[in-house]
Amino acid sequence: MPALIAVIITAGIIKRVNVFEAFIEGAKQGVGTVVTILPTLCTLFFLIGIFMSSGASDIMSFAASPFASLIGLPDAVIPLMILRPLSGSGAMAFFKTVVESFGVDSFTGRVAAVMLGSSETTMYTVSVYYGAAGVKKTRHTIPCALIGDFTAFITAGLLVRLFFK
Amino acid sequence: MGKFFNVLILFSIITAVIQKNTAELTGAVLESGQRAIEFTLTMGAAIIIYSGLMNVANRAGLCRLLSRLLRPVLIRLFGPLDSSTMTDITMNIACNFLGLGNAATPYGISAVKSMAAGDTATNAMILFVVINTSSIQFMPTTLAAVRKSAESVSPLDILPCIWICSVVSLTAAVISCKICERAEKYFAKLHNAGTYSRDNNGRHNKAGKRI
Repeated sequence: MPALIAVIITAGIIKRVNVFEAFIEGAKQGVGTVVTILPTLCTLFFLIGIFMSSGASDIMSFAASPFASLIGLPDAVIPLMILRPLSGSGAMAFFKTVVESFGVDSFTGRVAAVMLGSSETTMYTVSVYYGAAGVKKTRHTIPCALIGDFTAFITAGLLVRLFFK
Repeated sequence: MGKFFNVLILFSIITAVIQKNTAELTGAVLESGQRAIEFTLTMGAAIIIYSGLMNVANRAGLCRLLSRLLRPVLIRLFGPLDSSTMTDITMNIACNFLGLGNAATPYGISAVKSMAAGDTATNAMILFVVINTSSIQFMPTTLAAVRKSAESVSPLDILPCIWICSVVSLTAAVISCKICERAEKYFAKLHNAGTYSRDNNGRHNKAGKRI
């Protein structure tokens, strides 16, 4: 990080950019960005809050658990498949509980880590970008993004089996 | 997104009533706004700082340099785009790759804004957002920190798995995007052919459907 800052500032000085002014100008644009995405984030947190607290997320992960062995994943990581696209902090919290009960270097712990590292908070990303651009008709965005996540989860089970056996 | 929202909310409320979790639900609703604001404050602060820094990089011409390198790949994926959009996409991907997710967001937003056309997502926008939703990260720092604090023997031994996994899932996501684009085009053509022949036959839609 310090190296990156040094490179950028030095490049600015060499190119005779007014670094101070340019920084302020960029920061101003940043404020605009933050204000535009705030309503979307509030809505999304509202949705996630209701989904998690109502017990609906537990029902869905319970319903999905028989498929776990089918796709080569340990039962314990199934809630992560549902949590991960919805909430980054929720998924991280769940990862911590998995690590505590199974051990960080166990098969389950490793699969959970790879799942977490190779996927993204899909719903959040989609709503931030489309919220900012004013897009309402998302067409095939969400199905395709979820296909990507699902592929990551299955591959995670497969790869950990391959690498650590 | 709209339908998904409705279904999930209704399903959750019904579940809460059946499982008698309504008190928790009320608490979560009241808390959600506060959590969103807290989240925005921490993430927003980083966005503002990175936006400032990245504007300096932009002015110094660093971004243009990087985007010239990635240009051939991007043109293949997205089709023709103007150079400022191309720079935004490059910087977004580069920041994501370096694990600077919050720095990537402003670039991504500006790229999506410049690709926007009305309230319907275009093929290029979808592809871009889908690429963003499949993480391409060289070094997942938070994850490594959590594994280290849980006293893993070697917190980074899963990195090769994560890299391969990311590439596989990214490929799957991009391919599914391309398939959807083709399928939509194909069905549109089918539909047009159908209506056309129906008009010609004058009466039955059976003939039209067969084409």
